[in-house]
Amino acid sequence: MISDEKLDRGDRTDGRPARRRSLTGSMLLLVWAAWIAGPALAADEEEPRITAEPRAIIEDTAGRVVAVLAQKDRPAEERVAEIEAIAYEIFDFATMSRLVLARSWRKLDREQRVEFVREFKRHLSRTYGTRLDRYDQERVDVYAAQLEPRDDVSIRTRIVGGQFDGAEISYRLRKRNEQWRIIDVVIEGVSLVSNYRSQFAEVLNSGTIDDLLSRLRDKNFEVEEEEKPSEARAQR
Amino acid sequence: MLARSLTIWSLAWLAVGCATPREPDPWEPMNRRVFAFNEAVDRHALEPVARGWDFLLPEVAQTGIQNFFDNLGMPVILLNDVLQAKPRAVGWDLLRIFYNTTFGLGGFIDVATRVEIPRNDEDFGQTLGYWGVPPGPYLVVPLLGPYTLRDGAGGVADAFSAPHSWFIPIWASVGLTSVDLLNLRAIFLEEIAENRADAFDYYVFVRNAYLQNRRARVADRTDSTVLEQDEAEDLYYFDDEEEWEDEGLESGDYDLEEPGAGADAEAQEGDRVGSEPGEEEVAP
Repeated sequence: MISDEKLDRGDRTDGRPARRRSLTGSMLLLVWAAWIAGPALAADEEEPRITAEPRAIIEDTAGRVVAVLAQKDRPAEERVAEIEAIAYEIFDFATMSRLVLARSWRKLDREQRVEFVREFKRHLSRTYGTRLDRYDQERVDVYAAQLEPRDDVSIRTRIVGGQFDGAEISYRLRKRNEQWRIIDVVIEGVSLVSNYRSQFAEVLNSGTIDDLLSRLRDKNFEVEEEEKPSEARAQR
Repeated sequence: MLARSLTIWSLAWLAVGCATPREPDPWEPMNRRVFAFNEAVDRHALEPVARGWDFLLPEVAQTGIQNFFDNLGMPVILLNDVLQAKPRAVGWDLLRIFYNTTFGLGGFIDVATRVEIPRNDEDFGQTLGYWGVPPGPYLVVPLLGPYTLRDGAGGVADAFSAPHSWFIPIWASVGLTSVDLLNLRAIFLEEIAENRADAFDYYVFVRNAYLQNRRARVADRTDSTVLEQDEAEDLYYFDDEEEWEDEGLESGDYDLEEPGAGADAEAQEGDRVGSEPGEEEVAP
């Protein structure tokens, strides 16, 4: 804890581009660009040991996801299923469930908790998988790691290329049972946990936890219907 | 122009400063009605037209149009860089305008991003926020969508300070903005459809995302959540850490029998079962 501030400062490499060679316009512009980009070059200190592991996990995962997305010859469902499988490994759904339900978590009995985590997990994995599958030309740049209070770590990434060029996505990881896993995804400053929490609070405001569970189940069911129309028809 | 923006500024201070409530959405009943209206307009008019637009125009054309409007909006960003006293951003944005207007053929090609000139995003709402004006109540504006009182006032100032709007008639400005919005709507067809379908309460989804995003933009930290200490505590930590350990819940309890995931779950389960009895044997 003593060195929090130091870690924080040293590790937040700015990610500001330092490339100068393509700026062949006028001398003046070049000098200006160099002045602007200067500090980014200086901030290249040693990465703290704590953030190294979660950072490697995010880098590795980004690589795997991009590799799956690149397999355009395979059917979309297979790619989505594979991304879902990756999501299953790297997200801590139990912690996320508890965070999104906040104070309402206490009102759930054990059975409801298990069911909630299962359905929420399925919901997140599906939305994650189907959304990601649309993007194929992007690269993910992991540009910084930051130590958060109580030993959480945030890994900052930026999408390069494609429709969302420059979009910033930060992953917050926590170590539980000796395993670093994602507990929140922050897209352009919008925390997924906060967003779901506010929506679930609204549902629980006007209904019970069973209402929320059945909404979750219905949604997951709808998505499955959409994805596997032939199977769904065969079952009837 | 400066006088006008100063007037807006002081009005914003007065209006927002007095009216910022603890609850971010005191006008929710009204906002929900306007939101429902906007949604209906989108479903019946904007989205269908955007689908046609998307069908007719190839992706490159859409991107080019988006780039053009981004470039057209740069002077407003530049002005707000100045108003927020950010010389670095001024430098980058001047470079960006220069590159995209010349080599980028009037803005249609985003050359600046290719030579790694960073993108800045500023507007009057952010400038007000930067100098400490709180966002004020959440406000859904008919046809225009989510705002806060502060950012709505900022939006009016943005519209007046766009240089191109001084030289062309008002209907032409409105026309240009419509094309910009339609093109953007076409680009985000799938995302918006998915967000709608996935949301548990789409009104709350949009409100939460908008408020968080604006806060991050004001702080120039879109790569993280911008939270006060107590908010971060509330969002990320439990009241009672020990309770968690007692539950004995682990990933194995929730795993589904699905291809890919099932195998992983079994492997994890196997590890645990394998190691635990071993430890018990050692103990006696």
